[in-house]
Amino acid sequence: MNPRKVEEVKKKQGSSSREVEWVPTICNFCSTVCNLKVGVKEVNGKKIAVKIEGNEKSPLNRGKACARGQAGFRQTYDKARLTTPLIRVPGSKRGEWNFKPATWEEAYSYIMQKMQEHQVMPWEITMMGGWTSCVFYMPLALGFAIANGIPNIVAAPMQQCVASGHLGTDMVTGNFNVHDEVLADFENARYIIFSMTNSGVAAASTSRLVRLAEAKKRGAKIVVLDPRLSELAAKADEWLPIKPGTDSAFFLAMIHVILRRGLFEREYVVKHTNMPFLMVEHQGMFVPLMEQNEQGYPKAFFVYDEISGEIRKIPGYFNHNYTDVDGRGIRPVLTLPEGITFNGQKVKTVFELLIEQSAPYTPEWASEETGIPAETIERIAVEFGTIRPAMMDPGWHGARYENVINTRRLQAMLQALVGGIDTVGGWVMSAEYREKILLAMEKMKAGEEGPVLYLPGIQFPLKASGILFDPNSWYHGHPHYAIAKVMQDKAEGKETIVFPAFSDYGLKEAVEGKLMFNGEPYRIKAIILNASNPIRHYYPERRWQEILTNPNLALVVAIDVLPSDTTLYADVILPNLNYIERDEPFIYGAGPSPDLAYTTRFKAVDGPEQAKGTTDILFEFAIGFGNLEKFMATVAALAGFDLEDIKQEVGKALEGKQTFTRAMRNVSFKHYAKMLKTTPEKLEQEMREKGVILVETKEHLMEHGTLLKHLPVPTMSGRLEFYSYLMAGFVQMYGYQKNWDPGLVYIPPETKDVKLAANEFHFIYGKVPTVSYASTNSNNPLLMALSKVKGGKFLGVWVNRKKGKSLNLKDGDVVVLENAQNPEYSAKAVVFLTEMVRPDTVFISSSFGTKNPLLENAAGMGIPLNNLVPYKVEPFVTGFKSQEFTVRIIK
Amino acid sequence: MARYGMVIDLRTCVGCQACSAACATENQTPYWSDKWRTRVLDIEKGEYPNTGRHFVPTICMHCEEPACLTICPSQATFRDENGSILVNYDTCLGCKACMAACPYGARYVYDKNDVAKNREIHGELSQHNVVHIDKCTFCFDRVERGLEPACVATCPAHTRIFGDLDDPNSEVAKLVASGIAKPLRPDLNTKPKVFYIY
Amino acid sequence: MAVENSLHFERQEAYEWPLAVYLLLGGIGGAFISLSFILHYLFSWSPVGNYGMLIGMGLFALAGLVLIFLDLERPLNAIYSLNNIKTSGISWDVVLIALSFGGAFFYVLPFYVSIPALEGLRLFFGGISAIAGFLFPVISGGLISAPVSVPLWHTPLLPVLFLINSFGVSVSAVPAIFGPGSEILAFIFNLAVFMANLVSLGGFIAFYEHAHNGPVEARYGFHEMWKKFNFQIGFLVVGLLFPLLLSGYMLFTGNFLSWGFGALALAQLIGGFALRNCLLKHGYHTYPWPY
Ligand code: SF4
Ligand code: SF4
Ligand code: SF4
Repeated sequence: MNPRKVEEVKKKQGSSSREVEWVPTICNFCSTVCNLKVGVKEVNGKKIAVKIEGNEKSPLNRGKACARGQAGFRQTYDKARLTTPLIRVPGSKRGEWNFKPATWEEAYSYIMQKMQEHQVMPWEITMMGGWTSCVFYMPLALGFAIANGIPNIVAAPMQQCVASGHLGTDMVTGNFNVHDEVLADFENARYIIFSMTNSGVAAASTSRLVRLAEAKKRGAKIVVLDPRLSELAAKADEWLPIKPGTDSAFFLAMIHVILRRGLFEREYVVKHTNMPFLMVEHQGMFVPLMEQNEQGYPKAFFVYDEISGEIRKIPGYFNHNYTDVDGRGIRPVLTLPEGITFNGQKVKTVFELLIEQSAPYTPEWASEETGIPAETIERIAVEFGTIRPAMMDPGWHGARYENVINTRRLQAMLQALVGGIDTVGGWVMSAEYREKILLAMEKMKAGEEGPVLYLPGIQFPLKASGILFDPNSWYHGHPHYAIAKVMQDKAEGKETIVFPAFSDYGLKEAVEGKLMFNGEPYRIKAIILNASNPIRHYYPERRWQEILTNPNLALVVAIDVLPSDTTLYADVILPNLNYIERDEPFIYGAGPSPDLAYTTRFKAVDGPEQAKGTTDILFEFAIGFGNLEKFMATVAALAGFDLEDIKQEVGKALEGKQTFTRAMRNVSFKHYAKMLKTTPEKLEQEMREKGVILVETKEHLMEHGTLLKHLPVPTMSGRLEFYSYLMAGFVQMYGYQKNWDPGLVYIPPETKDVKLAANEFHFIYGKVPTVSYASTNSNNPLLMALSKVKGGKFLGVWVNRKKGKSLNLKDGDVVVLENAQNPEYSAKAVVFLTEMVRPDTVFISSSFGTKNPLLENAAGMGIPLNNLVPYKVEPFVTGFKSQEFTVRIIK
Repeated sequence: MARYGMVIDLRTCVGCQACSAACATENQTPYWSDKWRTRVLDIEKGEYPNTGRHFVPTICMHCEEPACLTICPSQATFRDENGSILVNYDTCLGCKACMAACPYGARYVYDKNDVAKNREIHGELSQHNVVHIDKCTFCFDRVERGLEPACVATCPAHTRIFGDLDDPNSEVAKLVASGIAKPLRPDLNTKPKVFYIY
Repeated sequence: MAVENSLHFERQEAYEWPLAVYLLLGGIGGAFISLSFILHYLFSWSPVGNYGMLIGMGLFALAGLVLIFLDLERPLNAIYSLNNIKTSGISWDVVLIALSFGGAFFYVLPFYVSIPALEGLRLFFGGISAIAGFLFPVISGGLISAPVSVPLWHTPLLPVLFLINSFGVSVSAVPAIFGPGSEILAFIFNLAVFMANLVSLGGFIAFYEHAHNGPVEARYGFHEMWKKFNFQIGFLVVGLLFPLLLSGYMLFTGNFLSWGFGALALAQLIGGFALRNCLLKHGYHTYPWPY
C-alpha cells in the first residue's frame, strides 16, 4: 500500500486515550490506593470517562494500574447505579427490593422521624464503614461518631483482615497504618519468603508487584508457603504447599535454627531490639526487669554490659541500647556469663528466654505440623539467615486462623533477626509513619499530645478504640457495645475478647435486646452503613440477615454507589457519588509510600444528579442531629485543622455557595499549603497537574529519620520487641492465654486433629487479581469478562485432580460444599480439578458470590464465602476464624 | 521509520490481566464476546506437588513474514512504515483466511453483534463501526504520541517491553541481541517481532 | 523444553461449513467445465459441451454466492477481493472462477447465437475455461493447505485429494446425466472413476501417514477426525470405498448398472463434502507457547 494510503487508514483508527483530558485520582478498588489518572472526553458538552491509567509520578504504583484500577470508571456507567434516594415501600420486608424513589428531604425526614418514633439514643446507633471510610474519611467518620455521641463504629476490614493481620507484626515493630501497612523494599532484597498472601502482591497490589517483579529480574530467590499454587506461588523459585494453618510452626522452626546457629544480624539485634534486656524470676516465672511510671510505661530497662561487666540501666523509651541512662557507652550481651544475679534474683536475657522457649520447635517437630520435610525447613532457615538482605514479607491478609496474629508476629521477629526493619532490602516504613514519629518526638519533648490522627503507629488504634471503649469518654456513659458485651461475658464467667476494636462482637445480642449494661438493656436500634456490605463481607451471611431483619432494628440506612447485597436490607438507600465523580474532601499522604508525598482526587465526570458525596451526607446528618458545632470542633481536634477555617468554609456551604465536600477540601488545602509553604491556589494547581506531590524522597528522609538508627519505634520500649510488653500487660490484666503470650508460642489450627473423611477437606480461600474483596466491582463488565476467562479457576472450587477422581468428580460438576463442623453452612460450587492444590485441601476465591440480581454481571457468579463460614472469632481482636473448619463435598 | 518489537518476560508475569484490560479499554475490543487482542494464558503443568503454573501473554507477533498478510485477498492487512501489521477496516472482506493462516491466534472477527454492542457502550466515541477482522495494532496511535502501547504501559510486572529493534540501544534490541529473548517456533519462518524470555 | 510437552491445540474457527460447500461446489464446477470441454472437443459430444459447461458455470456461480453471502462477514467488500493478486489464494480463486466462468460463457454462447467473430476464439476460450476450471480445486485446496498454522492441512495432498474428488464426481455425473454415450466411453468413464478412487485411496493413505504418523502437530486433529462417524461413514465408506468397489465391480464384470454412475456421483459428492467439512472442522491451530 502506498504511504499516503497507509497514513489515511491509520488516521481513521484512533484509540481511547487520544485527545483526552487527564484528571488525577486515587484508586478506590483496593487498599493499595494507587495514584491514577482518569482520561476524559467531552461529547455534546458532557464529560465522559474513557480510560484510566497509572500516574507516572506515583511513588507507589509507578505509573502502573491493575485491571481493577483501569476498569473502575465503568462503575459510573453501571446500569444498576443508584441514582436517587430510595425509601422502602411500607409493608415490604427487608431483604426484598421494594423501594420508591424519594427526594433527599423526604429521605432525611423519614430517617429523623424513625429515630424519634423509636426514641433512638446516640449509643443505640451503629455506624458501619467499609475500608474507604477508614482511608479517606477517617477524620469525618470518627469525628461524626464522637460529636454525635455514637460510640459504635464497626470498621469492615478489621475483623476480616486488618486487626489480626497487622497486630502481630505491630507488636514487634510498633507500626500500624490504617491501610495499607508496609511497602517492603522487595527490589533490593535477595531472598524473600511469603506466607498466607496472594492479594498482597500478585493478586494484585500494584505497588508491591512492581517491586517484586524488579526483585525477580535481579534474581532474588522467592519462597512461597501456600497450600495452593496461587499467582504469587507460581512466581516462586520454591513453592511449599504447606498444610493449612501451620505456617507459624514453620517460622518457629526457622527461629529455632537461626537462634541456635547464630545466623541473625548480631549487632542489630543487640543494639536495636530488646533481646539483651534482662528478665527476672518472679513467682517461678520470668518477667521483665524494668522500672515503670504511673501509667505503666517503662522508664528504664536493664542489660548486662560486657565492657564494664556490670548490669546497667538503660532508658525506657529509646532507639538503641548502646548508652545507659547516664549517657555512658555500653555493649549489652545476649548471653549472660554464669552466675549473674540482680539483687540476688536470678536473671536471664530475653535472648536466653527465647532460646529456651524455642527448644521444642525443631525442624523435625515443624515437619510433623506442616507436612514440609525437616531438611527443607532447616535449609530455608539457613538460606534466610545467611543471604542478605533477606526478607520475610510482612503479609497482607489477616484473620483465617486464631493463630494468625502469632504467625505474623513470628514473621516480624524473623525480619528483625536479620536486621531488616527500615533498611535497604527490608521493611522500609512509610514516610507518613516516619513523619508522625518525628512529630510525636517533638510533642513528647514539649510535654504535649498531638492530634489523635497524628499519633504514630499502633498508638493511633489504641487511642481511638480507647475512646470508643471508655465509658468515661461519653457523656451518656455508654462505651462501644462490644465492651458492654465483654463486661457481660466477664460477669457471666465466660471467655471473652481482649481488644474488640471496631468489631461486630455483641452487635447481634444488642439488636436482639439480650445485651445488658449497668443493669439495663444496651440496644442497637439503628445502623448506618457507609460503603459497607456486611451481607457479603461479614461472617456468616445468615447472622447479618438475622440482625438486619430483626424488628427491634428501627432503621437501616445504606449509603452506596451500587445496590450491594446489603442494600436489599435497608430502609433508606442514599445514593453516593463515586470516586471519579467528586473532589475529595482532603489531601492524603500517599499510602505506605516510603517517599513523602501528598495526593488527592479531582472530579473527572458528573455523577448522577441526585447522588451526593459522603462528606455532604455526614454534614447533613450532623445538622439534622443538631450537632454541627460539635462535629466541626471534633474534626478540627482530631485532624489538627484550624477550627476557624472550618467554620468559615462550612458557613459558605450552609449558605448554599458550595458543597460541604468542597468546604472541607478548602480547609484541607489551606492546612497543607501552610505546611508546604505555598498558597492553597498554587497547591491546587500543582496537585491537578501532577496528582502526586513528592515532598521528600525516601533516601533523603532516611538520612535523618531512619527508624531505630535515628528514631525509636512506637512500641512500649522504642525498640523492636521480641518479648512484647503490651502483651505482657494483657497477661496481667486478663490472665495468661496463649494468644497473648509475650514470648514464643505455638497455637495449632483447630482443624489439626480432624480426621478427614474421604470427601472431607481443609478449607482455604484467597484473592484473584481481577476483583478485590467481595465488593461490587465484580459487577464491572470488563472485570467479569476477565474473570470468566479463568473459568473454574476463579469461579469454582479447586479440588486436587487425583483426589477428585477418586471421588468420581469431574471438571464442571456442581456440588455442595458443606461445613463439616456446622453443616447448616453450605454453598453450591462448580468443581475445578487441578494439580495446583494439596489433596487434603480445597480452595475457593473469596471475591465472588454476589446475589442481588440487580447486579446483572455479578449475580450468581462464583461461591459466596460467607455462606460457609460460621461466626467464630479469636479472643484477642475478634478476628474471624474464617478457615478454621473443614468442608465436605457432596455430589 | 522504526522496526517495532516487543519482549515478553515470562519470568515476571503474574497473569493479572492488567494488559488485557488496558488493551480492551484503549482499543474498545469486544471483551463481552471473550475476544481480546492480547490474552494471558494460565497454563498448568506437571503433577502435584511438582506442579508448574505458567502465565503466557499472547499477542500478534507482527511477523516480518506474516502469513496473514500473504493470504489477505484485499490487502486490508498491510504493513505500516514501522513494520507493524495492521488491518484496514474499510476494505476487509471478513473472509477469515488471515485468522486461519495466523499461527499465533492473534485475530478475531469484530462481528455485527460486537459492532452494535460497542456502539451501545461507546456511542459516538465508538472506534469500530464496521464489521472487520481485528487484531493488535502495536498501539500505533499511542506510539505516535510518544507513549508505550497500552498493555506495556500498564504492566505492573515489567513483563512487556516495547521498542525499536533497529535501535541497538533500546531495551528490546539488547534483550534480543543477548539471546535471552527468543522468538517462538522460528522454524515456522514467520519471523515474529515479539520475543519471549522463558 | 520438549516440543511435545508444550503444544496447545485450539480448533480453528475461521472456516466453517459454508467454506466446505464452496470448495465442493467450486471444485466440481471446475472439473465439470474442463471435462465438458474435453468431451466436446475430443469427442464432439455436443450436449455435454453445451449443458455440461452450463452446469459447471451454475456450480461456480453457486459456489461464489455461498462464499460471498455465507462465508464473508462483509459480502459487499467482495469487490476488493482482487487486491492481492500477487500472493493471496483467495484472489487466485476469484481469478480462476472468473476466467473459467467467462471462458465457458463465451464457449457456450455460439450454441445459442451465432457470433462469427467468436468462432475463431472458441478453442481459446474453452481452453482457458478448462485450464482454470482444472486449477480451481488445486488452488482452493492450496489456499487451505498453504499456511503453516494448521499442521493437519499443511500438505500438498490436500489439493490432490480435492482435485481427484472433484473429477471423480464429474466423471460419474456426466454419464449419469447425459448417458454413457458409447460402450467405449462408458468403459473410459468407469475406468476414470475407478482410477480416481484408487488414486484417492493412495492419496488418502499418504495423507493418513502424514497425519497419523507424521508431525505430532498434525496428529491431534486427525485423531479427532478419525473418531467421527461423519468421517468414517461419510468419507471413508460412502465417499471412497463404495465408489471404488462399485466402479471396480462394473469395470471387471463389464456389467454397467443403469444406476451405477448416478450412485457413484452421489456417493462421491457426499464423500467430497464429508472430506472437506471434516478436514475444516478438525483443523487445529497448534500454538507455540513455550509451556
Ligand atoms: S499486565 Fe503484565 S503481569 Fe499482568 S498479565 Fe499482563 S503481562 Fe502479565
Ligand atoms: S502474528 Fe498472526 S496476525 Fe500477527 S502478523 Fe503474524 S501472522 Fe499476522
Ligand atoms: S500493543 Fe496495543 S493493541 Fe496490541 S495488545 Fe498491546 S494494547 Fe492491545
